[in-house]
Amino acid sequence: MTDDAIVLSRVTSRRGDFQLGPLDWTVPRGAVMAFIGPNGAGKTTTLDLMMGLGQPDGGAIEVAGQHQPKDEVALKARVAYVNPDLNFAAWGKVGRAIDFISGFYADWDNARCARLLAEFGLDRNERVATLSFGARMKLSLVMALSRDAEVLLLDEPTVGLDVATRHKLFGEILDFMKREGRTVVISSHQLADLERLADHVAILNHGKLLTSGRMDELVERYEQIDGRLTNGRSLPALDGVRVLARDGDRVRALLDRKFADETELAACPFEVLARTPLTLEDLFVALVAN
Amino acid sequence: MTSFVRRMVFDFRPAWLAAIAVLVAILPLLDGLWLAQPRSLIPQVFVFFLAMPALTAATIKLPVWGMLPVSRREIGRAQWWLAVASPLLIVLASLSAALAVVGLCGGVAASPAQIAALAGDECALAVAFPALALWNSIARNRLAAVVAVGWLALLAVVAFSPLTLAVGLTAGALAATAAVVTYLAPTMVLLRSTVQLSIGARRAGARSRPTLRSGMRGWATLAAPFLTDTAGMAVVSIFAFATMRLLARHGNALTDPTAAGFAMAVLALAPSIFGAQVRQSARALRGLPVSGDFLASASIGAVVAAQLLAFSALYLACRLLTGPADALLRLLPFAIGFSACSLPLYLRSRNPIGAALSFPVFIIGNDILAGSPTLAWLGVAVGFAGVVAGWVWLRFELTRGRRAYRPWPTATSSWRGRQLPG
Repeated sequence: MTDDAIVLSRVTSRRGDFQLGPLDWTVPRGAVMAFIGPNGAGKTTTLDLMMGLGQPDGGAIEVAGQHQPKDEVALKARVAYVNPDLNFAAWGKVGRAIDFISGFYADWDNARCARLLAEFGLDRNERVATLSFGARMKLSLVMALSRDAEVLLLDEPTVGLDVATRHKLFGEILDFMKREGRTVVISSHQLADLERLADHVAILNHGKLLTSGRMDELVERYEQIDGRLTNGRSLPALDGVRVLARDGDRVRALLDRKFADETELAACPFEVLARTPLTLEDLFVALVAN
Repeated sequence: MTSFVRRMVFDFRPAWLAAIAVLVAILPLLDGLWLAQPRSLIPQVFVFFLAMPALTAATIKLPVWGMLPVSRREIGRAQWWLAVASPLLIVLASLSAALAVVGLCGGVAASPAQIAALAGDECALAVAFPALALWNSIARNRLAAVVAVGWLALLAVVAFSPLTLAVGLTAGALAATAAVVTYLAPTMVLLRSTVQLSIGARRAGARSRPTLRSGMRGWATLAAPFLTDTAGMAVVSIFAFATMRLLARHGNALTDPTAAGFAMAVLALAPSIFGAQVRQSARALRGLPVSGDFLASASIGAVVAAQLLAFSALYLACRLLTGPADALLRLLPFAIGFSACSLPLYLRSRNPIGAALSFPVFIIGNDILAGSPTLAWLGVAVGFAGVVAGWVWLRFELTRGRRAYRPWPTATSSWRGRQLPG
């Protein structure tokens, strides 16, 4: 068993003008990975490909030690996927949908399922078609969390959920992570929530992975600096320094400590006025919006 | 059949099971009547639609099936059992049961050759639609289109030929071949939804799809796919009329008016397609700065306009094919009224009950209307009442009804990435 729960090697997928990858990405076993990116970055495409919903044009996908598409059945038996598009209305009632799905998994826990249904306020006799959007998302989460899956892929799991339910969900995810060797990948736009929950982060933009690593290391790696140009000209191009905004002689820049040379920056005609540590949201905006 | 495939195949909702039970109960009756009086009825016509509920259910469930720990082959097999094998088994069981019962009563008038021909014919028609759908989904290339056209041509030969032993056996052999080919195709079959209207920006690289904009241009973009679908329905209805007419020529007790009723019933399915589009777009439509009156009028107007256009094509084709088609004219107001009502019915019921009702309603309605030319005025009155009722009902559904705005699962098999070739 490798230390990585998910390994993507040179994965590519083209859909019209959109090109995903080549994507090289690993998610360590035991990580809670925040998978973030702007709309249309390719997050759902990546998760779908991991689950075997569509086939990449190139590259290799390994999830929970299983290769896609060779080990598709074993892979899907070890992975639980939640996606807002999933709809169980064809099964009529909540109970029927659960009975159908549970029959496919040896690791299904009926007691946990009943507890989760009660926790999320769902009734087995309710008709799926009349559930609200949030309630349908809860049902998908119940389906995923009632199992003992090794890897949990959550695509926008908090969309449509109220604050209380979101907190319950995070509690359930933490509970899930208590089990040995469990891995969670959460794709979401609720960055404040992810910052509290996730210990790893990957940022995808235009189908390319901008960065991936431990949350604390990434947040420490980047720093926002505000300063003043002393010669009135522009800041010279420096490795690891990216200008985010300029207003007259005032400049706001993103400093990537991994590549930036502080002595080189100090030699520039630039007076640093403030250094601000970044939140995940700041980092996301700095990397993606600029 | 593996246990997982079995689980997918035998996953029926009680209401769905009841609908199938009705169909399955009707078939032996029709078969029995035919065995007792071989030239009186055509049970095959109903057989053609046996696979549709299964195909629809399999399509809607496909996104969830894709998540389950089953292989693509197993999903393909589940679809095959539902869409191809079940109709075949139902057809053969129905005919056997009818034969046993009518035989015990001593009323079998059909010869063994006729019975064999009927069996082959029914089998071919039972697998015609699902085999075509499955094959088209599997191949997804020009070859698929070529094979589909060839398959339709073969079916036309079967349907238009007299019910002889040779034709029946050929049809049976075709059915067996189609069943075997679709069974062996080692792939998960992805049936795409054709009814979902995309509202919003066009995806990069995607084929041009209708986009709702404000003003008349928006209405035009909404109506465009409906008109396309209606044109398709017109072609199918012409095909249906021609089939029925030619079957009638081969000794059945079918009359032109009944064939017309059948063709008009097919044409009346068009609002079901439009209804799906309105349903998918209901929230966006209600968000437009137009009144409920305008929205209902525009929708009903689109239905009536498209019906008239499609009807014109059908009427012209029928005149060319068989001479005067007065029965069609008598049915026209009736069809427009029915279509107008089936639009809100579709929004209310989610399921295309209107489509399911159209065949009995039209065939029975036709029998009444065909009785006397004076009764044609009754058809006009019924049609007018249908349009008015449809408008009032649709306005209610769009302005006050809640069910029209509930999300409805469509075949969301548009997964990201390339679809699997097999």
